[in-house]
Order: sequence, then C-alpha cells, then structure tokens
Amino acid sequence: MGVSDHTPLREPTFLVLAALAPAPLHGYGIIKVVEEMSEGRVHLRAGTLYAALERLETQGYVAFLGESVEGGPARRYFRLTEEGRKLLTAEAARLTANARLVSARLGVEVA
Amino acid sequence: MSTDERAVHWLTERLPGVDAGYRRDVAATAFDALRDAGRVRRWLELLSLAALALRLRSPLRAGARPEAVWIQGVRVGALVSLTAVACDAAARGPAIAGVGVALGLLAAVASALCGWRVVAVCLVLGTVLFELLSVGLTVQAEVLLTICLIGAGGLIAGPAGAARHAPRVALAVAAVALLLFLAAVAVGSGAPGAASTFVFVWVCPCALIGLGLLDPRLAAAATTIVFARLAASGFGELGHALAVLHEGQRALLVRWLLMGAGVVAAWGVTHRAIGRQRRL
Repeated sequence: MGVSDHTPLREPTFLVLAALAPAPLHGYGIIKVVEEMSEGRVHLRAGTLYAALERLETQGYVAFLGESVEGGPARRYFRLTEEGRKLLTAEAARLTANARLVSARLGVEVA
Repeated sequence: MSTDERAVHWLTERLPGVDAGYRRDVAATAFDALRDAGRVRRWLELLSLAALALRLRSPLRAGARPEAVWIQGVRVGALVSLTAVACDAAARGPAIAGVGVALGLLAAVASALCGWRVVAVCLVLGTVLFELLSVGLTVQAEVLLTICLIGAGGLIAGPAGAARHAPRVALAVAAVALLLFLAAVAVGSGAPGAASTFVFVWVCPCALIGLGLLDPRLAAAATTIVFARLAASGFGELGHALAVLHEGQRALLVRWLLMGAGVVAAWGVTHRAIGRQRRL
C-alpha cells in the first residue's frame, strides 16, 4: 500500500506523526507534545495513542527505537521512519491545498 | 498501590500479543496521564486501556482478513445462540423435554469450546430430534429447530480448534443454565424465562454490537445471533403481520422491522470496524 492509500489521516494519527517529526519521543512525551501543538484542544488517552502507534508501526510509518531510563521506569522511544515522513508531508500538502481552496473561495488570506 | 494503579496493571496485563516491555511502557504512560487527572479523566484513561485490549485482539487472531473475522465471529454467534436456547430450555423448569434439551445443548457448547466440532454438531442435531419426538412440531420446537440448525451451521463454518479458556467458559455457561433451572423450580418458569430472553435477545446482541466497534468479530457474532432469532420467529411473523396490517395490528410488523434493522446494523458495524482496523 502506498502513502496515498492512507490519506486522509485521522487527526490523532496526524498529530502523533507531527509530534515525532523533529525527534524520537516516548509515549507520554507524545501525549504532551500533541497537547501543546493543539493548544490543549487534543488530549490523547494512553489507549488511543498506543492503538495509533500499533497501526503506524505495522504499516512501517513509525519504528521502535529502543528503551531508555531517565530517573524512572524504562520508556520505549518511537521515531518517524522515512515512509512516515513522506506520509506526513503528503497529508500536510493535502490539508494546505484544501485550506488554500477554501480561503480563495472565501476571499481571505491563509495565515 | 492506588486503585487506579491496580486497574492499570490489571488492564495492561490483558493486552494480547505484546511483550512484557510493551505492557510496562503502556502502564508507565498511563500512570503519567493519570497523575493530577480529575475523576472523569481517570475513568476515560482506564476505558481507553480496556478499548486498546479489545482493539489488539482481532488483528492478532484474525489478521487483516475480513473473511477470518466473519468466520471467527459466526462461531461465537453460533455458540451464544445455542447457549441461549439451552438457557431458555433450562428456564422451563423440571419438565423432561426442557431438561433434555438444556443438557444436550450444554454438552454441544462444551464440546465445541473444546474443539470437538463433529461431536458438537451431532449433539445439536440429536437434541433437535429429542425435542421433536418429545413435544412434536410446535411453535416452540420450530424456533429451537431453526436456531439449532443455524448454530450447527455456524459451528461447521467456524474455525476448528479449542477456544481459549474452554473449561472455564463451559463451566460458566453451565452455571448460568443451572441457576435458571433452580429459579424455575423455585418460582416457576415465567420470570427466569423472561430474564433469559431479555439477556440473550436484547442485552447480549446490543453489547456485542457496541464492543464490535473495537473488535469486529463480536459484531459478526451479534449479526449471527440476531439473524438466527429473525429466521426463527421473524419470517413467519412477517407474513402474518402484513396480513393483519389492515386491521391495525402493527406490533408484529414493528417487531419484525426491529429485528431486520438489528441484522443490518450488526452487519454494518462489522463492515465498518473491519475497515477501521486498517485506517490510520
């Protein structure tokens, strides 16, 4: 299956991929980054996050990097794969094109 | 350890097909999320872990193959339908026919759970024969005949092999039937029979359809159960309902339409849940 077969993405999936774009993160790190990015609008539950991660890992868009202990229990870190980066780019381009389309129809500038 | 932490451990221990490190990681993330969370958010976190445990089951056991989802679901639906008939029969009380049907079908369900499919199908057919010889071709026997034939078909179409925790499930099923039997002996067959019908005709399919959003095999099971009930009583009633419609008796038609809608809804949920498994 290609990247185009998986778009449009659900919002939690899109935000999980976006959270992992700059650097690998552990589960709770992803939850916090998604909350910050969405300015508190999206709060991922642990079960929702790991269900999304499981699907993304199965499809090869996210990979398990390894475990790390930083003053607490061992944490699993996840990273975006090259395919995941392509998927995120494709989805961002799709959303941007849609935003431009609507802005043109409304006669307003895209921020 | 707090109640929430115990609940998180209990739920993460039930995540299927994952290693101990994964369970620890999910638990650690959930603990962080639960810290400083209000009561409602704590409940939502725990519910999300229960949903995760259900979501992981179907891809693990049926893969991404819709036909495997249906086959496994039909088997569960057949087992629940046969259990329902056994419980209905047990709720009839100490009549020979009822006890015989209950014992025959309970033995069939136990055999199917243990993976003895041929024995289970023979027991189902033998029980149908016993009922027909005991009470003749009454309306009740026709209902039993139809559900048992669909149940036997489901067992044949379903996967071979023993179910997980087969002895425990078989004992639980037998205990429910025994409770209904004892209740029928104590207070008469009315209330136990109504309770059995309410649980197996309404509560069980509705719960399976709801849970089927997370594990499509359960929605497929609900489709089988509701279809078996529709076939057992609905088709005959449809003709009667249409015949009496002009006289203003719409209850039968409404009942038939509700059951038909139930089959369509359960099928739709199964189809949608299978699609959602692959969607990112």
